[in-house]
Amino acid sequence: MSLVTLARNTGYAFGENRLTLVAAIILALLTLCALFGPSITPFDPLTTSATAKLVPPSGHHLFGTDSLGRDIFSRVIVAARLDLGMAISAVALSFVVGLALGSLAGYFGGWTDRIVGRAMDTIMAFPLFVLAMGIVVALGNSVANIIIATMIINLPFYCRFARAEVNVRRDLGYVEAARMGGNGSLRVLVSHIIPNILPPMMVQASLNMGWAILNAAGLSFIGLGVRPPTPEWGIMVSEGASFIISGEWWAFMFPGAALVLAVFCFNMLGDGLRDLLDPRKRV
Amino acid sequence: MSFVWKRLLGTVPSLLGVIILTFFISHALPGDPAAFFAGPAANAASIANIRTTLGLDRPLPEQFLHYVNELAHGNLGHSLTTGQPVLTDLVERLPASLELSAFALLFAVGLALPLGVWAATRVNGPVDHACRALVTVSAAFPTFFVGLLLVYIFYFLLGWAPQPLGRLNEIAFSPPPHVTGAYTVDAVIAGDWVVLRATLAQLLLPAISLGLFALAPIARITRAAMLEALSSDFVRTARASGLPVGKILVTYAFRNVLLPVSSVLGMVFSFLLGSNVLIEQVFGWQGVGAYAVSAVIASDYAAVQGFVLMMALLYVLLNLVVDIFAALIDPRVRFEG
Amino acid sequence: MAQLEIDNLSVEFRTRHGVVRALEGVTLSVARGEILGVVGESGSGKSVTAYTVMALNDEAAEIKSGRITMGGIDILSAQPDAMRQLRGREMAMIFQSPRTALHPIRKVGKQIEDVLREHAGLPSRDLKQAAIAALERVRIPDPERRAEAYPFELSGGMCQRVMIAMALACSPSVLIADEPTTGLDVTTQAVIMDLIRDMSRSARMSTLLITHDLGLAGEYCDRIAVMHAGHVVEIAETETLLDHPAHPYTRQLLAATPVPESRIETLNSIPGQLPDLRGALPPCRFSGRCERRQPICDEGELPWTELSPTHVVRCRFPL
Repeated sequence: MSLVTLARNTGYAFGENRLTLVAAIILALLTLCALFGPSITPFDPLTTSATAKLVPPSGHHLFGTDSLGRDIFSRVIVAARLDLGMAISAVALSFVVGLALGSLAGYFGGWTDRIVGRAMDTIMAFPLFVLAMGIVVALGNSVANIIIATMIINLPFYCRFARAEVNVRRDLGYVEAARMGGNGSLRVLVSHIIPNILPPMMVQASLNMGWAILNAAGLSFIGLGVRPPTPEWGIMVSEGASFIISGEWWAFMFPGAALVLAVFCFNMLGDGLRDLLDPRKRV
Repeated sequence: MSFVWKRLLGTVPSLLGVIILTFFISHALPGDPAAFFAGPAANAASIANIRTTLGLDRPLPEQFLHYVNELAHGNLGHSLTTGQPVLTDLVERLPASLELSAFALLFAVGLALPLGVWAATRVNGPVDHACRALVTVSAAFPTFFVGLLLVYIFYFLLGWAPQPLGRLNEIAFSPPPHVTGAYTVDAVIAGDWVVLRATLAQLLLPAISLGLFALAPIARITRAAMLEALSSDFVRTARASGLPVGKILVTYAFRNVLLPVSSVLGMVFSFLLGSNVLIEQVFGWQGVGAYAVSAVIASDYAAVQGFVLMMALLYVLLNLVVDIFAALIDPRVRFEG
Repeated sequence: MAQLEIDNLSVEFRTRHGVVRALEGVTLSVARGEILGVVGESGSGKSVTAYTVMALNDEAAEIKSGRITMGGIDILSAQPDAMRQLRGREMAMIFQSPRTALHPIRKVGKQIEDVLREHAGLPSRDLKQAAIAALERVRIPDPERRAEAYPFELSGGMCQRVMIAMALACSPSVLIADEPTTGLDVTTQAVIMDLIRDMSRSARMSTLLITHDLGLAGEYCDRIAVMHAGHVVEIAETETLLDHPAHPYTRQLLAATPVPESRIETLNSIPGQLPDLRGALPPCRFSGRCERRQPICDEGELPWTELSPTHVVRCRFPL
């Protein structure tokens, strides 16, 4: 699909679906928060205050303060970096490794396919969140290991998709032609097949992002990876949870809402991209 | 029947894979496994001790055989925090988690199926739009957040739900005599309706929180499969034969929805078993999930790995049950073998 | 006396892209024991006619005018529940692709029992036997065993027999067969058509056979109605139609049918395409493709010309 067609179709898809456009804008804002967070917050997210503990939302503290007197609004903004960063890193790694393994398995078949298939089946034989827990505990409690664990549990998703897509295209006309043109197998795979499967894989990636965020947040909610006082939405919800029964709702509500917003927008974006790429749906 | 045997045999590679991967995670990753098993409070001497006791100084293949042998004897090691064998700890707490997941599944399926069917029969009607909105929105909420939100609204604000203290308010009630470990079942067996009511009241919010995320995929696939069935050739034939509407909806359309729904259940179970951990944490539920979380915090290595292994085995078993169920409802599956 | 009479039927469909005038002024009738063939290209309105008779149309369909009577009953003004009771009992329909037209995971015997249970008023314990008897009537060998089979275990021809058994289980007076043999191999086609003809004659049913295969229609039908773009353009007894077609379209259809001696270079096709049924349409919808077209063809109402009591044609300049 040429760039012009893509641009035109994007405009069409966004015009058709206002929700997708809104989602994209919100995600852009969140990305800005992630990139420039520390510079744009009204307060220092780490500064505690003995006097301003659990202050309800007000003009001064938009989202109120937490049990250590820290401004929740600032913390929520700065946390975007870690939440989005963890998810994007994990998805990017899964994408690349999954694409590589899946393409090789789909193209060459035989033992490559069997081994890769077995490995993916083994991962999928576990409830994925539980596997992630086990991996983080084994590798050590750090953000990097959260990313690795999330990457591993996401791997089968990309691997199988790439395998299926490559399989479908392997015996198509243009691939035959490339082979007969004297190109080696690997070259055919990389130069001819993979560029064609990138668009649908990117759709899968955007649909997958929301899930990756939820997984990472879940792991930090139970105390894995992120350590206080680092601001991160999952751990903030966990910190705010104990105050619900005394009515101080702002501590858990705002970081939780941030999670919902991010995941929802990624899902909407993913749906929009999928519709964009599926000409049948554009009737 | 031979189909069941075939499927049973089919789980062997999965079981093998699970055992190998858990072994790899607990014994073969970078770092000193002995230090992990000894715990954060250990010194060099106790670490060395653990190393020899658990055979961690042996070559890897020998360790693997030892590991499999231990598993066969039900030895998952000892918990650092409780001091008991991990298996004992897990078995003690498993009924609580299973009970919670069962009710969550009941809620999810019980709501999603009728919703999906209704939405499909009145396309673009208010129920259809509500269904699609619910599916889209509920997929964005983290399970732990839903749990906390429900506690805030229904316990703190409205006062409808009991305090989220876990399975039962032990100050006011005592658990029924232990038969299965599931308080609801045991209460029914003992004929104790008061405790049954209290247990169900405690189960309400956690089960709904857990089930809400599972609602989305089930409702979505029910709606899609129902729509496809209603516009199919065979429903057209049924209409042309003048069959009553009820029969067409149930016997002709809905029967064909069960198979796609069961294919989604695998993913749903994966989610339920995983998110169980989060919900147990939120509601103070005394199940294996809460056990795993405290093990994680305490770096109780053997307990965490035991938990992972148990959940995986449970998951393989559940998938087997779903497979067999699929074969029962769809004879075509049986023939493919 | 005609068992099924369709008089001046016009049907429109409201779609996102405009109103589709699917049928206009369709008039035909089928007598007891007669097999009427309805032939035409895809999109000519054959199936829409059938679905309208059975009241199976989509919600978007609107009956603009016309009358349909079956055995004296006014179909178009019947209540939905009354129609439901007629379907399967007094009027039945069989479809193309029999494998997909049967419930994929329900035993075929049970599917026939479903029809019997609703319409035949038999006690429950007799249903199974009655279903087996229905399978026997369509000459399925070993019917007791076959009744326990699922559609995917049966061949296409066998599935079609099951559908016929289902349709005829309550001895309807009208049978509509919508492309019943398309997709089956030639030998099976002949067997199925023989079966339909035999059942039709012996039960004195009015049978409407919809097909795009002129050869098939020529072989099995008593009379043939030719449809084009939502119009019936010619109705005649089979021999008359095949030997002396009066409508230019019929002649072209006949000319386009390949014979064993045909060669690729000499295959005839009908020029042009079916007109867009959404736009403005001339009174004769074939005029755009007709070589005998005159200016008057595009003006006024298109009349019926009666060439003989049994031969009518809708053309100003019949051949």
